[in-house]
Amino acid sequence: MTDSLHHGELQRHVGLIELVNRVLDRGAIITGEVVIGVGGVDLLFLGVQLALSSVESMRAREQREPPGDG
Amino acid sequence: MDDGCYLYCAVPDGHSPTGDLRGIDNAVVRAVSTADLAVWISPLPRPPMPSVEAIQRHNAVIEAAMTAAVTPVPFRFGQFVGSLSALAARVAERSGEWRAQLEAFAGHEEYGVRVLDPAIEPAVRDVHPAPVSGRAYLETLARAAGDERHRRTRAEVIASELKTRLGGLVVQQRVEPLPSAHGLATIAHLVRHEDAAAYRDALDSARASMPALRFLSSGPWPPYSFAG
Repeated sequence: MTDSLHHGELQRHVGLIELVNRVLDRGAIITGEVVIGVGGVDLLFLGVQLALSSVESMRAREQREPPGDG
Repeated sequence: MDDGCYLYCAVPDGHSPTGDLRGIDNAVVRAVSTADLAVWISPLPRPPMPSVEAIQRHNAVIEAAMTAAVTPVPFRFGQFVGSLSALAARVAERSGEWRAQLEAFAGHEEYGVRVLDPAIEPAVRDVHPAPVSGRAYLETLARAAGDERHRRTRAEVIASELKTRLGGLVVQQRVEPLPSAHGLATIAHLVRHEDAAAYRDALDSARASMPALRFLSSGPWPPYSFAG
């Protein structure tokens, strides 16, 4: 069931990216400043975007090279 | 209480955590009533260190506040005040806005859709560019600005087409361009809880009707994208 494992791993990856993006970059602000400095947020956000690109690349690679049964 | 408060979300007054709900740093979560609202907090001596686990805990507390009748106003990660009096002062400034949002969010949840276009050629950037003339530099900037405008326009067009296909299942929509290599748009949909299954089916149909694009969907989420 390699396909299922790939899909499950991909879903967890996407879910974590979406969670981090939402919780860091969305939502109401009450204090005007957050625990992460501006530089830290930028670095995390950059990481999220790179990870998203990786997911997209992984999907494209899976389409080009379908995983075998083993 | 001399300690500070870590803040998760605003909820209607009287909506309290059930059981022994634990949040950031395993601290107990409780509701503090102020300005005709309640805010779910954990008493903490200092702001928490950012980590994936802390972010997951933050979201888990907000999800615990979601019921069929109540959808909280979620706060961004890292919101911390030094005392309950400071909390009351902050909430008083925003209470009118949050009461309106609580009324609008009730019975709704957020879904996310990221739209990718594999046909987009990623821009190649030279990290050690050779010296160029001022004119060439300005032309490069103009091309980049044009690409950004084009991407934003495409994001709006695709989001509009998607919303048309989803019909009345989408109550509110937020759209932003997605600045990754093949990214087109980041779309957030506010959907009634009872429409969730119909929304997913309609999104699958819309996805099948636009085979040239890739869609990464997620949800349900607390309405982070609508609470700014």
